[in-house]
Amino acid sequence: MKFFSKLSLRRKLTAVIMLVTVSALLLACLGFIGFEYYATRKALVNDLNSLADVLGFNSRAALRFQDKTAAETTLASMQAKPNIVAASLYLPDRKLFATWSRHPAYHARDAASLSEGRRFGGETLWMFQPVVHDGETIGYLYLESDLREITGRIQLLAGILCVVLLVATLAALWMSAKLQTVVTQPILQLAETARVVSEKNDYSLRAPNSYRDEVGVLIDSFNQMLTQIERGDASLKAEIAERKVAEEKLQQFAARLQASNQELTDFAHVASHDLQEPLRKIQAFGDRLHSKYAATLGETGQDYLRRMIDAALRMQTLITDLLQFSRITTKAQPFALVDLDEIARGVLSDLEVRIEQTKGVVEVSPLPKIDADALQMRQLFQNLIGNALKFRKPDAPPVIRVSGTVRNGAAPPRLELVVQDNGIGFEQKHADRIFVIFQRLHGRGEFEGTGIGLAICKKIVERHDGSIHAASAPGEGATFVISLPITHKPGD
Amino acid sequence: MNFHRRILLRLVWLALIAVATGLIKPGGVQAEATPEYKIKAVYLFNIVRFVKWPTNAFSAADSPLVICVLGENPFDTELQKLMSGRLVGGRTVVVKQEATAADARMCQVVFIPASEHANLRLHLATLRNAPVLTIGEIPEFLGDGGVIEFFVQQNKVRFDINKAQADAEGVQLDSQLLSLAHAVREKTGKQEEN
Repeated sequence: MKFFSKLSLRRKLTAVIMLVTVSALLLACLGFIGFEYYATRKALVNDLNSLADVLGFNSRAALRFQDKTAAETTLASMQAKPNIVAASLYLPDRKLFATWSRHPAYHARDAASLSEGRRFGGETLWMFQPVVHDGETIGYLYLESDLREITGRIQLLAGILCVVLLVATLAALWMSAKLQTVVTQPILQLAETARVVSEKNDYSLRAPNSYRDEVGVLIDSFNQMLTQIERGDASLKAEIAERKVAEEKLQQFAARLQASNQELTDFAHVASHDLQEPLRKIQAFGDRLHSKYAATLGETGQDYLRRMIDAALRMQTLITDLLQFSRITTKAQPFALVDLDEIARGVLSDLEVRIEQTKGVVEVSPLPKIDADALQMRQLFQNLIGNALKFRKPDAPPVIRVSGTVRNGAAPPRLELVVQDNGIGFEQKHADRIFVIFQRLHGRGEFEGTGIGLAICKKIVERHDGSIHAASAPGEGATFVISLPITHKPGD
Repeated sequence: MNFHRRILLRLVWLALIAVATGLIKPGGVQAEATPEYKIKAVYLFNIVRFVKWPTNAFSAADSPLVICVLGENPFDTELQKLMSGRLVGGRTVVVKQEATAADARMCQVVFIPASEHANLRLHLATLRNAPVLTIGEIPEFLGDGGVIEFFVQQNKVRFDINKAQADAEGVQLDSQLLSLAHAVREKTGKQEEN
């Protein structure tokens, strides 16, 4: 069956037809030979029976009068029956009375051991039966027939049937080759169409169909399927074309965006640098004016001078912050393994003076090592803890908690960094505004600052594929939650 | 004494049974048949089996077949021995000895022995036109209107048949019987050697 399943449809069909045909022919031939053999045997037995009856009848007088010559004459009549080999007559006491044989060397059988009836033995059929006359057994008849005639006849028949079988098989082979196309043709056409369709992806092809049978239904269904695929293919192609156009537009847009972004960064950097030089002159000459001519300026003059110097200082801070902001992308370092505990310790030592001044408490729970830009991590911690110290409640010392939890739910695992304070807080609706550059919730009089710190934080976190969120309420302190991937793929 | 009487009685009984069943023949009443007549008896008995009589030959469907011997019986009891307990064509066989042919007209078979040589013509004339199978052993038997004639040739008993006479009397002879005959006369006066 495994071999069979590998054959082509045409061969399979031929094999099936031939198998059935040859089996049927063979069975028919065997049946015919069997029947012929049986019938011939039966006819032979019948012939022998009637022959024995006639012979027995004709031998009655000879047996009665024990006329051996007459008996032998009667037996010799078997000469005319070519398949009778021998015939013998026995007396009622089973003694041999007369015998005749086609072969001179024949010895009549000893009737004492013979039982009545007929037997097939080797190449002969013999029968032994009583001769009855007027109700009396007057003797016995033995008749032997040659089976060579029947054997020869069966052999001839078998020979003829073999030739018939051969011719019929060849005819069946030829006819099946011719006729099977009725079945295979449409299927092969369908298979060919399917092959061309899948090879060339040409869904406009159709399998020819002029059949009203199951194959016709199959081909119709196949063609309908092709129609549906063709339709689907067309709409898919249109969609792909649309998407390509959109993608191109997007790429153009992205390129323009990148260019303008670059311009902006360059501008900020250059501007910050170039702005510092005249500012330093203003500060330098302002200082000199204050130290040499403060007495001659008078009270109002001194106030003007002090305001001018303050403004210059603020300008400098602004420029420094802007530079920092632009450097996040322009002066970025590649990611490396950073010990956040060490970073936190460094930041705390930098801020030591301010913490002491405010009598604040900063608690840092153990933090892991992550892939990051060490300088920017330091900047992040500095800004967040600095902010927490800055926006403290006037009547209470600041308490700041820094903690980190590794979340294994995502791949790669992420560090959830939480910076919590007990400061003045803000309204939750401003939670997004605070990360926008130059956005300030408070007047300059209340808290100094440029409004760049949290924007820098957000930019750093985003550069590390992280996110930053704030949660707060006025007077309730603020909680910043930063999520950072612990590892980065090389090249990120 | 009682014991001996009983033995004697038993012996007498046994002797009687033996005589009745033919085992022992009471001695010296008739001369035994010669071997020739023993064979002729067998032949006669065999011939009878190959003969068909017209239905009017018998008075009834179950009437016995009667074989009559005219004059002296040369067969002794040979014929009775052969026929006893046997049927021929479904009939029992009775053997009779008759003095005259007129008495023998009712028989189916009449054997005319050699001793009746002088009366042969008279006998045959009397039996003519009756469905009787006549068998004889006198050389003129067939010529005088007999049907089957026994003769001895080379120490063998043989027979000739006058089929024309049998046909005239309505007695049918089986062809096998004819084939065993030494000669068969098909028509009156004509004889064919077998």
